[in-house]
Amino acid sequence: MDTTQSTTPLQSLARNRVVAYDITQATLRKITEIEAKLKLLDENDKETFTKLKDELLALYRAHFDSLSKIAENNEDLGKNE
Amino acid sequence: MAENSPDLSVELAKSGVKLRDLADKPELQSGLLAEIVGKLADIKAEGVATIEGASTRDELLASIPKLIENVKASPSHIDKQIAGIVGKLADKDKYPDKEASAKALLEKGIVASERGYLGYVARQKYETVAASLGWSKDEDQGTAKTFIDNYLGDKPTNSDEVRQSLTTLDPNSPLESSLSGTHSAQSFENMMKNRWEAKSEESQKLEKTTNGKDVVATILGEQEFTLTDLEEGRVNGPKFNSEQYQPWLVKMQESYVSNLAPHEKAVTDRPDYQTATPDILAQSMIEMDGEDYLSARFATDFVFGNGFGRTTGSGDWDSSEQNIGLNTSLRCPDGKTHNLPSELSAEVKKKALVRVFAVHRQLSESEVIKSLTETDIQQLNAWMGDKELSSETPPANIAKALQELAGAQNTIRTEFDNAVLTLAPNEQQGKWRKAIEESYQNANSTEYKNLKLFRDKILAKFGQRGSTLLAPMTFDFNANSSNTIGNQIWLELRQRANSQT
Repeated sequence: MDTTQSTTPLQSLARNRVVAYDITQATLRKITEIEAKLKLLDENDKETFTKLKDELLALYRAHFDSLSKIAENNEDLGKNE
Repeated sequence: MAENSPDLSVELAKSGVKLRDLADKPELQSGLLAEIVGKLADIKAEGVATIEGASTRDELLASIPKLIENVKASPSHIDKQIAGIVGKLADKDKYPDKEASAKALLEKGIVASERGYLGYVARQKYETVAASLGWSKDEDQGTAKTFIDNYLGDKPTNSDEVRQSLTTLDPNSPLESSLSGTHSAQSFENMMKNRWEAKSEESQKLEKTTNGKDVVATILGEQEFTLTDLEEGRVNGPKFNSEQYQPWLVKMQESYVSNLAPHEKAVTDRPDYQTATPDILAQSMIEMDGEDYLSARFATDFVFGNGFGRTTGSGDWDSSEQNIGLNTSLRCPDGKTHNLPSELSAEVKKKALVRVFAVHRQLSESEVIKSLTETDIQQLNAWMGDKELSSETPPANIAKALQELAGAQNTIRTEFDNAVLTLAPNEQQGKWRKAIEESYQNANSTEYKNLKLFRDKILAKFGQRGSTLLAPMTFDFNANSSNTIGNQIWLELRQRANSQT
């Protein structure tokens, strides 16, 4: 890990931004995976369809919930300066 | 993805004023959190409704592009928020000069933090000097340090001063004051220019007596450019402006780009490439089949042992790592070398071992795995200190095993070196080169086949990109050099390239 890490609000903001992009990368990767599975899915396989749909839903929700938490944390950091 | 993700760090480094302007916007001065969270919530609700409304496979598939678009755009809200907060911070009373302080704050707080304090400082210095020389401006701390080591290395006292100033410098100090005493910025720059011009004169002499191809080869051989540097040189450097060389250089550059390892491109394309922590970059590489790439890299490190690992971040070459075992570190955009996670290292090392055997025994990797004798397995297990090689093998055992393997490493290196030395017994450059060229055409020795196999594997795996992997083994035409294999490989690449001009 980066040994130059510090805890100033500005640096925390910077790291939060990195985290936001990393979460985004991960989410996009997983969406792509789900998309690939859907393309291979038999139209009549309702059980797998439902499973993938739920997975996509949870993923999408979690992504925006995470970013909202980051936004809240950023706001706190701004107040602490 | 990059087009949807403004690089805030760059923006921050460039212009605090711009961000302050952004922060002055009314919508960012009040209710910032509510606004950001509200937007995120709206996008989330929209996507959720779309997903929930999809009742068939095709409907769900049709919704995915929009979902991807939403997700891609989502961090830009965070960017905007951070820009606003940073702008507000710069308005505080303790920073009376708003514009200057905003910029200083941003550089100190974010750029220095993300890229690493030393990396940032070194980069500023390097860019100043490199720009004056027409070199790439995108080099990083590793290059800057190597640069300084190389060019000031014969003046130990002064170079120590420079190194010291690099590690203790206040980020707000100008370049001039950081390079105080006998090494002002100007003298530092002049020194490097003189070095450069000295080499240029040598090249000019050659140009008068040899044909253009040899000049290119000589320049390449002396300077250890990466292909990116070559292209930079073609555009900016007087020595490369001749039309005679341009097709070749362009071809090399195109090949370099088109063969860029996918995982590496995935890393460098990341919007947070300049700011991501090393473990994130490493993970990104692993997910893009980087493990395979890394194991190849480590295998070559293992064989040659004097460090020519392709760095993952800054684009420079790491020639500083003297490895007993395998190189398990990554050079990252912050200019530092970071250890890989131990679990990855174990897996990569395991693969690397197989590759080493494959090269040594002239077998494919699958053949190696199949052909391992009971003795081999016992030996491997003894080395690893475990019953079976696996990703769960304790790192400590692997470290111990690799130390024991150092002997094997030296044996392999000696074999390779001897092979090349046998092919090129004469130390005189011209004859040496000629001997290699002739021997190359008729090489039948087992040792040479090993070498060729190794080289072919690298090139087959990475295409022209492989030449870049192999290139930094230096092109020193010295028969006593431990890097003569690099010469041999590069020689062929140059022959191939010359035949295309």
